[in-house]
Amino acid sequence: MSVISYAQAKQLVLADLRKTMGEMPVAERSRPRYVINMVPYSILDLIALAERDAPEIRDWVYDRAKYLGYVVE
Amino acid sequence: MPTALFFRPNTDLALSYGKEWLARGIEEAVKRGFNVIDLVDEACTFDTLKNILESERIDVVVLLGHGNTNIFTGFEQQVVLEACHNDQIMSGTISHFVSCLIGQELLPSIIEKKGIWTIGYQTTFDFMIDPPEAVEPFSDITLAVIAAILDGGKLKEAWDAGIAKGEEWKTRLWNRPETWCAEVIQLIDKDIHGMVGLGDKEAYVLPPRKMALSPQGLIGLAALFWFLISRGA
Repeated sequence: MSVISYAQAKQLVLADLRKTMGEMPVAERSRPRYVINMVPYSILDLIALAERDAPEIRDWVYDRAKYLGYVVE
Repeated sequence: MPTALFFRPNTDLALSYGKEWLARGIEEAVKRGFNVIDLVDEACTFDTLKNILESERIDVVVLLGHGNTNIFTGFEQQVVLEACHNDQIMSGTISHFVSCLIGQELLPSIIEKKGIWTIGYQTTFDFMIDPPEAVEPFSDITLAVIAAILDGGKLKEAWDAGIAKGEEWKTRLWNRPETWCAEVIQLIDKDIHGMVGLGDKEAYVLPPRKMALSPQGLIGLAALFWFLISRGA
């Protein structure tokens, strides 16, 4: 696994989310898809929150980066 | 007959899913012959929970709600349990919490207050709801833990049942090409790694006893019945 910073992890996760979004029908992109910490989010919500470093999904970004094969500092 | 208490507030989208998962748990409890107390929606408050735990002998408690490290909430996110504040009401219980983060402080505190054992999550409990079939693994993991408790499993057996169900789902989804399957695997992996079990490793809920008769036993019972009837006639 490669060790990366949170800023790098965020960019990788955002790229992954955008790729996933691109595979989804447009109508589904704003539909609640993920429940994180018992709060529902659409993929568009997550992209917006990740872009602005929202604390409520920071751990999720770490987890997603880890799942993509990285260790976040 | 042992009693299982289910605590199922449904005040938002996330909880509406959990409420359905616990409904499956209730079916399993009824099937096994448990008495069931089902607290739903506005009944999911500290006062109701306390009254029931103090007035009835409850063998197992399954609770759904929002949580953070030291607080578990019920209806409309009212505080139900708070570490080192009111969690002594859980003393003497075997419990499973479907909630986020409470494994960090609240569950250890419950065990300090003589809770027998408990299973919950020290991380956030995350899942997917779209497409609809993406929910199934998370429902199954919850149900696996509940069923193991109801079957008289000890702490590790119940915990293992949840982990095993998660692993089973990961394997099942591994070769699927859809993107959501990879996302679900990621969340299952995170959830099962965040599942903690604390407390007495040897305690268990004694399941209701079932009376099973062999064919010979049934014939014997019929003969006895016939004998008693004929003597009375």
